[in-house]
Amino acid sequence: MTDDADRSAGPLAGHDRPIVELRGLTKRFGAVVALDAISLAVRAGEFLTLLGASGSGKTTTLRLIAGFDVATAGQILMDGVDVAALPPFKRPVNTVFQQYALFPHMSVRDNVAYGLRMRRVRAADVTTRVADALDLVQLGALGDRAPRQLSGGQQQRVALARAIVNRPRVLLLDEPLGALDLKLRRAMQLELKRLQTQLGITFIYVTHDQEEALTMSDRIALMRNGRIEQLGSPTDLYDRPRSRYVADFIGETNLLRAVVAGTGAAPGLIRVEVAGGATLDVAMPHDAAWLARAGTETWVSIRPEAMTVCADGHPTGTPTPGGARPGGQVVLAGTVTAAVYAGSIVKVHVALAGDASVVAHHTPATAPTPAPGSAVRVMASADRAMLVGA
Amino acid sequence: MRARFDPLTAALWTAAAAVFCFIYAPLAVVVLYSVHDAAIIAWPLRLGTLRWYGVLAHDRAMIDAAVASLKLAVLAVVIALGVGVPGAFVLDRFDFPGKAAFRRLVLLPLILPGIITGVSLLSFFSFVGLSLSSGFPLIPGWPVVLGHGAALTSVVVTQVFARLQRFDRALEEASADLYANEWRTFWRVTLPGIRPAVLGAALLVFTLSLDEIAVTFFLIGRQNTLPLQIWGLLRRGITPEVNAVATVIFALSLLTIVLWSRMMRDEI
Amino acid sequence: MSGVAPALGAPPPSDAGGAGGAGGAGGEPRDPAHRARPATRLDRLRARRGWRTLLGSVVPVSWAVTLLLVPYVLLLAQSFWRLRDGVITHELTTENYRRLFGTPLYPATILYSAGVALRVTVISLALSYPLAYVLAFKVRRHRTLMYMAVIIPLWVSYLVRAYAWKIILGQDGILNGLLLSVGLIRAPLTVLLYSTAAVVVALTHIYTPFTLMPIYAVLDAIPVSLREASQDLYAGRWRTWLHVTLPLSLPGVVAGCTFAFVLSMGDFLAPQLLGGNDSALMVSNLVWSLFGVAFNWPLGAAVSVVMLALTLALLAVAGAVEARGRYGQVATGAVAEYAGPI
Repeated sequence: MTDDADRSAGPLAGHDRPIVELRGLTKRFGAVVALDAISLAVRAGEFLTLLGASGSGKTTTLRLIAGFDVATAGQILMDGVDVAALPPFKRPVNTVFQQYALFPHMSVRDNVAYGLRMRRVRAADVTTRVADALDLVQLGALGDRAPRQLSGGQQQRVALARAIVNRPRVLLLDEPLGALDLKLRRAMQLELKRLQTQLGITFIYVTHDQEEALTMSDRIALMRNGRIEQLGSPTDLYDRPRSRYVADFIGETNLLRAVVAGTGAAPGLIRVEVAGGATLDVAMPHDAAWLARAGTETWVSIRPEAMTVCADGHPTGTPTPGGARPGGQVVLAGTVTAAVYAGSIVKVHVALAGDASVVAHHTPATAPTPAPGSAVRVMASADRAMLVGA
Repeated sequence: MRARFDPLTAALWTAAAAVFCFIYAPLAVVVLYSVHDAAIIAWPLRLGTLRWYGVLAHDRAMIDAAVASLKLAVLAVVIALGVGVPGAFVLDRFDFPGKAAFRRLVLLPLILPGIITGVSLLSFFSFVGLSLSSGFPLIPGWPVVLGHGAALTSVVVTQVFARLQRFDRALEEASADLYANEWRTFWRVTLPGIRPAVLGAALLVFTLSLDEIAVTFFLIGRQNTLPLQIWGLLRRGITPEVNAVATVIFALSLLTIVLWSRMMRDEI
Repeated sequence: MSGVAPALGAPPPSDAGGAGGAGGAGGEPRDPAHRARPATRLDRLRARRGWRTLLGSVVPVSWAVTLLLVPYVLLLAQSFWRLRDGVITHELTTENYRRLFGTPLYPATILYSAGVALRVTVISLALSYPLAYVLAFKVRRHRTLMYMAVIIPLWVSYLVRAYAWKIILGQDGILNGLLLSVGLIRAPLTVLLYSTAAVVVALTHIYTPFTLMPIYAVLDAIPVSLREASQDLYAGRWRTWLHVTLPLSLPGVVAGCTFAFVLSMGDFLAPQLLGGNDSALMVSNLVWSLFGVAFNWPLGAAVSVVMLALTLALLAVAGAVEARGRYGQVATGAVAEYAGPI
């Protein structure tokens, strides 16, 4: 019962103090810097995703928090206490491993009971808590099975049950869905999110799958080369990427090389010249004023779904909602090189002047798909054309 | 942090180091005493002579024994490969009644004490009337050659079979798809794939044959092999010459294992 | 020493770490799904071309039958033959077995040998487990090199290894010399050499690497995440070892112990060299003298058959224990290689 009280008190008690805080955390393996002085404050009860390509340092961060590796420098605070010197078995976190790491010589039930037994929880309590945990992941009937007799998805649930049965303040998940097929992965994403909300446990989740990160996270820390490239909500990262790398990593995007020319026609807009000579007014991320200096070489990111393709000679085309906004429109002229059918949309590849090219998502229901070779104009609302750092 | 002194880890390392010493100290002793400058092997050690190597170089019987051992080892390799490689293929690819029994039979000499294989073969050759000295002086004797072949074929079978199990059969199918007949597929795809295992097994058989005593003991005719010659010396008492020959063997063993590890490294 | 081969083939572990270095007998990583790989369609197609199958299998099969099956069966047959005036007759009799079990000397010999083998096994295990553990989990750099260093002695002449102990333990040997020079003893100890203890020490020295290899192979194959998961679930290092590492390494322990026991029980050279009068009490020496000195082959055959039966029984038990302790992802030991299903 004390544990329960503790858990429910957790998110409230630690409301303003981060539950986990990393300060200047650095990890070197020989000459390789895996983690370069990152700082990060995890809020109690949130679902935080460490997203990044392999080698970006996301798993290293998780392993340092769990205590499997020792940091070269920096601090790891949990509830304000530095835990760097504590071995894993003394830290108030639990881990769901990438390949599940279920003990092959124990039944599902014994796997789940392991942590409780190690903490010498009373046998009767172990029985009920294990049963509850298995029920929670809908595996109540499979307690006597050996892990190898279960499917991948079931093993994944056992791994989850084994961790949450301990009622940790923070749950660390290392690509827990990586080994599952796409359909199961999608189902488990929702399931995990539901569990996280229901239990109120803080999740620190590692994945390389940006779609997964967008679906589940309250906040995402996009990592690159041992640093945090951008930290923010999924919308922040998708709509207001700070850099070209972020824009490219999260979702699909079109990147156009650009040079800052001056301020734009409306507040919040900035005028740039893109390759090929066109001048555009694009949105400037609020925290990137440094980009605004004239002559700065940078990039413009426009999502394919933000673009509309209009055949040349039909100036009205399809009116876009953006067209009515005061910011006006970004308009680029080009030639269609290919139109690739993709179910609900058609991906229209357009070659622009100066070797640049973009892909626009065209909805065939609204207008006929332009044929390859035809001259078109590609339009997007100015506030969806983002200036991003190199 | 955790780099501080940790008694458990220290104890483990100490134990490991002690076991290493236990394994290597006796070998070092032999090497050191091979340059011990006295006819009696006693403490303290007096280092600094090569005379026992000189005695060794002039020991006719020892040299004859070494030559016999080499011949025997080469023949053992030829036989073991000739039987073992097809044997491994049979186990990997063919189904026939009694296959499991065949496999167990072939592997039996690996697992049984050598003396049992030795006395069985002795009984067999005596039963069929094959003289232990037949074939001498060209070879040390047919029974001992066949005996080594029989005992060591299993080494080739296990090594090559294990390799074949890991061999990607899709490569052979690709080869067949690309117009190679079975014969050319075997030579150009399968054999190169298992070559390291075959070479490694050959080296292993060679080394084991050179060192074999249990089977040899019962099957040898007039000509001693090197281990039996040394054994004879040891039975008469310790002579420093034994240290010299032991050191030479030790050096050659090291050379073989370096060769072997090179081969295995190229495998992947 | 033909019993040595299986473990020798174990591959060196990869420095890169990971689960790649699993070694079974024959030394190759072994995917259980692969063990019983059925013949593919291509195989059956080929097998139908009868001559090829015949050509491929006739040599190895007939070889194995002639030089392995027939001799072992002959040994069994011979143990039921009668020795009359020093000549083997082909009359069937159980006299050899009656004599074997009727004379206290023979069962005593078997028990004594088993006792020596048991001591060798226990000490080898105690020595090799910590070393294997350090190699598998503590060594970060030069792992291949260190593993090689452990198995190099297996390539070094058996006789050299056995004989070294004569130099160390002899009356004028190093141990006596050292003890005298530090003043612990006043006169050389004569009990060191030519004793059961000397035999046990030498056999332990000779066979410890055999015990070590399968243990190392299973330890190396335990995914590091399992031990991390245990630590994550509040078990310290000791309890992690007890609840996770030890159970998962049992197949290797069983295989290693079986090697040590069978090989040392079957050894007859080290006892003869170092064991003095006790040496005649090892069962292999009994076989040796019945065949080589007394020329009572039928009785020698009977003793061999008993030894053979004991060995096979032990292997069957070990194989079963080992198979039960295997959990798919952990490498099999060498005993299962032999005793397991094809």
